[in-house]
Amino acid sequence: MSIRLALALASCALAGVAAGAAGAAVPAKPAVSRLTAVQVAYLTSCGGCHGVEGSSAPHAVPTLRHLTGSFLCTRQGRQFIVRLPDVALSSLSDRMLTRVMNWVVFDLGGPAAAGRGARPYTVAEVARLRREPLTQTGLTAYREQVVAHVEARCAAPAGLNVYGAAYGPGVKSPSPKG
Amino acid sequence: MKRLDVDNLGERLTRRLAGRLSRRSALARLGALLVAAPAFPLLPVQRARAADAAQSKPKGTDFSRAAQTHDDKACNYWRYCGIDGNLCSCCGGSMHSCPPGSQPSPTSWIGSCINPDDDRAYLIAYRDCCGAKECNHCSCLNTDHAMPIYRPQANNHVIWCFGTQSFEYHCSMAVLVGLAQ
Repeated sequence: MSIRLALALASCALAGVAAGAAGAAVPAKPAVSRLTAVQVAYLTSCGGCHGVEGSSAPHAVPTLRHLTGSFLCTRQGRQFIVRLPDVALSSLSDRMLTRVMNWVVFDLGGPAAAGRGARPYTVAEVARLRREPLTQTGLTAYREQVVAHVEARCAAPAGLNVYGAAYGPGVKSPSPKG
Repeated sequence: MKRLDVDNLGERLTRRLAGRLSRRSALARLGALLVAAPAFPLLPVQRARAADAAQSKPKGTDFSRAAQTHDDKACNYWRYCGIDGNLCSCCGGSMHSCPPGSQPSPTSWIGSCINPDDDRAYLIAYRDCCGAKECNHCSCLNTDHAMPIYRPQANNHVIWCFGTQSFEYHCSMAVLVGLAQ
């Protein structure tokens, strides 16, 4: 080994040690995820209850993650998830609500919808559907009916049935803090 | 009565100027004036009004302008811009963990707060810890982005213990969800 090569290797080794020491001395800043406009709209309008990643308490709040896409298996299911009161009457614009619905169904909701070639919602479709929010009493019973049709027609995941099957304690009604 | 002779007056003024100033001097002064003009405010009234408009729309919220970023046991810590309840940081827990003996609720409401260190908005999940007697330390009430009770999804006065075993309220966390901008 020539002296020049030995010096070069030694200087590289020293640089590596210095870099390692610097890395140990300066603690890494915790990573904060950057959210897209659609994610912000989902989180501030839906994600508190449905969960940041679409999973929350499944008996109290329907799970979205890997499940919501299944509703697009039937025409009734496709309309149902837009006509739900908190969706239809949300403060989001038609355009942003459409983006959120497509993100929930195709990204958060898993490959169930996309795999069957379901088409994305259009702004006109969402605008029309949200003008007819579901108002019947017994919304949970109606959901069971919609899910039963989805299950009869497609290979729907079992998790679709969990919501409404049995309520846990403490979900009867919200009460103000003292 | 002698009439005002404008022609004569103009001629005398022009001749006097011509006698004192050279053409080069006049051109140099005119050039300097043209170059310097943009440095001065040409429309002082309009600029004053623009300044007023900028002052009337300060950045952030009243809370964020007075917020701090070092003490998470004080109500004016930046993440608490929409919190209502006892700070878990004062109850044996932290901003993102429940005190021993209490259970984090899987549901929450999500608001956004501005971090004064970088002037950016971050989403914050206000998640309650439930199933233990109320802590009653560091009780705070801030209302940025909180909505009235008829919009319960974003109401901070509701006990957010949906989905837990007990509805007994203990304290509130402020979990950082992500950067909104």
